[in-house]
Amino acid sequence: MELPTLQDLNLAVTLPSMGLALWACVVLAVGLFLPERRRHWNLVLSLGGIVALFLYNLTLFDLPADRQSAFLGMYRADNFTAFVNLIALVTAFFGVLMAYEYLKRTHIDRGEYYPLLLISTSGAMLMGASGDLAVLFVALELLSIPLYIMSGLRRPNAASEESALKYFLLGAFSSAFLVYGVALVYGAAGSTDLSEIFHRVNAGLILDQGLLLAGAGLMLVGLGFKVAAVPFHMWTPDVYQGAPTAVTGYMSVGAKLGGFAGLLRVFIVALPAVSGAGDATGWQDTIALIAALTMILGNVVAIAQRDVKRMLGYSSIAHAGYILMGAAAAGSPDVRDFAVSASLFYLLAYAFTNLGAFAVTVAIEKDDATNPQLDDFNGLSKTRPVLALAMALFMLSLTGIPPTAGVVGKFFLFQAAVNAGMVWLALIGVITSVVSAFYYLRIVVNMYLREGPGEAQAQRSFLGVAVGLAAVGTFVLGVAPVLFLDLAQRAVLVALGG
Amino acid sequence: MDFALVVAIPFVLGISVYFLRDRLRPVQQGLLLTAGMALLFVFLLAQLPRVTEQGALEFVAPWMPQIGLTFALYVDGLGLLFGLLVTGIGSAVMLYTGCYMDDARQAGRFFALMLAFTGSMLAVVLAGNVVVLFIAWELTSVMSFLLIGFKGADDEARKGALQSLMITGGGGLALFVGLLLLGNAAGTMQLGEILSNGEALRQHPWYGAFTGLILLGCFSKSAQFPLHFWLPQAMNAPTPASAFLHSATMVKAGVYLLARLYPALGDTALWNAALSTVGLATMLVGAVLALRQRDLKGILAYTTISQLGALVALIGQPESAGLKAAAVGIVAHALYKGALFLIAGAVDHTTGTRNINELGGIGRQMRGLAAATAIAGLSMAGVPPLLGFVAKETLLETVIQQPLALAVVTVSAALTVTAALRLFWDVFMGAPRTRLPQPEHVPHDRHHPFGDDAFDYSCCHDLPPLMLASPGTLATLSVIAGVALAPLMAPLVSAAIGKQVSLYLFPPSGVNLALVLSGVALALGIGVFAVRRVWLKWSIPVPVSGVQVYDGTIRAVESVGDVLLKMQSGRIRYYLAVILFSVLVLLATAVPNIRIDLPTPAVQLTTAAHVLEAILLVLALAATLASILFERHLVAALALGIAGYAIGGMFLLEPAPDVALVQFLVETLATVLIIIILARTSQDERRRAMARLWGQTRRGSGARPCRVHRHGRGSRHLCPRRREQPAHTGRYRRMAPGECASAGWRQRRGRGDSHRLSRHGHPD
Repeated sequence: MELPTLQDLNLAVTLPSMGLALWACVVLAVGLFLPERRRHWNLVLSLGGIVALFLYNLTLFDLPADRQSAFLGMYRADNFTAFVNLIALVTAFFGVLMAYEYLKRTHIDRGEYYPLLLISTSGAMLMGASGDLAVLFVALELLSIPLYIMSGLRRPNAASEESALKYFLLGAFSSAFLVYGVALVYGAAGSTDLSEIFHRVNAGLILDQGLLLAGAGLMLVGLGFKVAAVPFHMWTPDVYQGAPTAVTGYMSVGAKLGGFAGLLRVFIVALPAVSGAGDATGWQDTIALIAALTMILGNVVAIAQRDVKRMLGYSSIAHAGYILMGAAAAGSPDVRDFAVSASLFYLLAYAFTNLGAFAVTVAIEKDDATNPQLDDFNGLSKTRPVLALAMALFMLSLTGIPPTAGVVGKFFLFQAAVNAGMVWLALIGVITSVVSAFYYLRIVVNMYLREGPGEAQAQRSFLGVAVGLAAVGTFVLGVAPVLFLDLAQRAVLVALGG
Repeated sequence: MDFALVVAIPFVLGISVYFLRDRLRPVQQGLLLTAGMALLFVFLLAQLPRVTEQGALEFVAPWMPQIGLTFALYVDGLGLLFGLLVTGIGSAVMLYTGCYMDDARQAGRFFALMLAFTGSMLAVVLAGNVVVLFIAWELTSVMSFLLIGFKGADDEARKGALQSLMITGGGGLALFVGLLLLGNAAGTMQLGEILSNGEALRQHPWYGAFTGLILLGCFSKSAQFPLHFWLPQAMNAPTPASAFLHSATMVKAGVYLLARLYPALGDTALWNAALSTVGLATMLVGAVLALRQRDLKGILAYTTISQLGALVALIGQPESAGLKAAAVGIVAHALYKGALFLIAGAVDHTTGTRNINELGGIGRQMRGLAAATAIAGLSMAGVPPLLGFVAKETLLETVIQQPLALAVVTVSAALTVTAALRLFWDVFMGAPRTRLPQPEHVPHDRHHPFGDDAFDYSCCHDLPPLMLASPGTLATLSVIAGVALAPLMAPLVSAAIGKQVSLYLFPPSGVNLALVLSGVALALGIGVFAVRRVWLKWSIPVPVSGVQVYDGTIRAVESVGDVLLKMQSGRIRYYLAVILFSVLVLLATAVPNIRIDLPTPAVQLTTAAHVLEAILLVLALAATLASILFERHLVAALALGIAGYAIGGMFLLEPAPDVALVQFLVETLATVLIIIILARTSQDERRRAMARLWGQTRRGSGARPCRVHRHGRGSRHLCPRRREQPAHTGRYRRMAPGECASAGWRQRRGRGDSHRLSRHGHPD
């Protein structure tokens, strides 16, 4: 067997994720030597790296076919990867920006936050890029382990420690299912390469259909845990509540992004032909059912929450359900491409919106780091009108009311579900959206129609930038989604070779 | 094209007035905006002949070309009718608002919202694409919400604002999916193509689904029974907003959409039955409930509901028989109800109350206002020759063949007459009343929220001419339109419903049943009014009010949430079990498909390797079990190591020496690491940590870990661990080596207290 040359590895296209991991090491090394008053270099370096890679990543759309894979097919550099990278870098950007002042004023300004966040982001990017189940697993752990640590950043605070440990134990448990699923799929198909699995399944060369299905099911468990789908969601509110708010904000998007990128990659590229009834795929009904349960549970339970982070935790479960609706729709061959781009677009819309909502939550959190309650939003429109306006925009977006990103995203997802013939799922989506209006709008009511303590809180400049950018993103995606929609539409998932 | 500008101009005007609010007085702002709206009105009016001749005008601009979505406008007579309504009533309201508002900054903010609403509403009625329509539709709901909450409000107003947004916004989401399905069934999102596709759509298997969803959206927006209750709750909005949104325009969006989609979806059994049932029920319920109201705006709100019901019922008439009456009714209602709302606001503004029991005889001082009220009230009561009479006549003629509908319409018309009389007579005529003592808990500023300095309340006098101009003009238009039917109303109505109609004040063929019934309604209404002393004491039993149903639904959803919350126990043991159980269920669906020929289960211990393998297997299992069962962590860690080594040994026998080697290495490393960590933590600490992690429960809607509680330090002792680290107030910092933990706690407690105090100083 001939050894691959360096050129065959095609390293340049892997730069977004690999480069970010390397840059994380640089940030870590520099951070070690930074004195207290130069801590801002952590921020500058992290943001610089993220922005540079973001720009570079824009050149990675529509690569010629021969440059679309690296490491001999283990890394895929197609438009899907580029779009996932784009969302991941946006997420990381906000994650860094909203944490800087927060970490300082709540006295957990630890330098390791930044490299951990960057490494986790590179894991999320790698999940979208994985062309091989082994890479998928490594990427999953790369995504998760930094998150476990970041959840516990506020040690020795018991809530934060508990959050980290719970996340770690349950996460490890779920990862084990993923590995076992990978093993079963390998046992059935004789390969861990996604495209190879696809071709073997297609050609009927698999050892056993049931083994493949069982493997797919177990992988679904592992990935479902990451995206917080019912019934693998239970860690979410506990972990979200205990972790430092900035971490929760990053986690609520980053982990979900990685999970969905991996889920779509595996199920659309490798397993679309696993037979089911009619021309649908075998796993479609399962994912549709999970999506329905997730939407219902997330939205209904969120109503009872008073703690903002817990509420946003359940809300993030609910949104996982909406995106799963897209994944389920992608199981029908003729809506596949549309459903994939709908899911990606929704992830981007969700990223801007949810990060914005968390940035506002970070802004109203007091210096003693007590968790914000719904009542803490009272009268915000008087004390900080711009912040309140932005939060209102985010809440409308999460509900799915124009003129926001959320409604455009939901439009595509519902459209995909309807096109795939799953009208019932779209209906559940609508009904649960109406339910969700109740708890999202309660925040708007608190901000605009209730009297608050009346004292203006301190302005925080970096956080203000984060909120502003997120608001602009949410609005622009809602009014003129053309640019990103175009990119999302080009992200087509297919198996290599033929 | 020009129509895109029509939609854009209000937004531009709104933004400019917002930024000019420090430079211009409210009156100036109002005049500026009136001019803008009047220009739009004139422009739209000028398009009427063009549309009548050429049919619908379409305007398409690319929006999301990737999925074939366009920003499209579709301008036909119906759209123009509503566009004229929005800009016409809008001009009057803007002029009035300029005088109504005292504070320039507040006025600027208010105008900005009103203009944003105007733009959205114009986009609704001119939209040529169902997606554009939906987006604009929801925007109007949001603007309505912001306007209802404009004054900043007490609990009730807050609840009302949230309710109105929940009902209209939620109904909008139903509409969303309905339109999506409709678009899918029609194969296009363009309104023009959908409308020309009616035959196919009515046969479509999804017809019931999308029609039902769309009707739900329309009914919620147009306050149809049993979703009507949000509209009276919305009356906390400043009166100009009520006049504009909650009477003349926004609530008619539902009626608009029904009329708009009539060619595509209308005139089926489902459509007609749903619309006429709901519409007539709403008409009656609104008219009856209006009787109970003491608040001027409450009376107006319920009569508006009644009128909206009539319009919906008309669109549910077979073979588009009701469209003519609906078009006339829309115009007539907008004119008189707009005027009456503005008058109610002026009365409130001048006297400081809207309670009809506290008012009386103010017509002596306010002759102009009384005259305007009289005219608008006559139109509302349906007295010739006003437009309201024509509307009522056409309505009665439409349903003349249906006894039940005829009865409902006549009774509702009679009660509307009563309401109109109360609005005029009990407020402007009769003996002056003294102001009732205000209950303590009603905040003073609820009645005149914009300050006391605009008018001298001690002696009511007539409004400034500029302010009186708006209701005066609207009332006068009721007369003019009623008299000049042929030159004014007929072309408008003909264009709106797309066929030539003739309107007449009195039936050309002499007295007919409709005219008789109209007279009966008038007489009945006056009779009911005359004996109002009797029935005002009655309480009309309402078995279940919409608000109760709404609250009940919310409670039900919440209690389902509570049940689901019980499952969120906080115990990791339980979480693991749920995951495991779900995995088993998932696998159970896959197992029946497994056809692999498993080797016969007979144990083959023929070779030494097999024997060894069996021993290692047993060893691994036993060690795993031991690691679970042994209490001592060190033993458990070692047992885990043994299990790992046993598996490594099995690899060795496979033979896979490389894998085995890695396994041995990792296993050694892991065990050593675990032991090091164990050595660095005390047994006691570990036990407490275990107790926390595995034995903790969470309950109830709070569902929070016990140390993150809201009530200060009180329940701190519930937390078994780390009493020295109160998470809820804690500033977390590493303790200096010599620092005593309890000292640190005391310090932090001090901070916690002061923090609590500062919160206490500002109760909610």
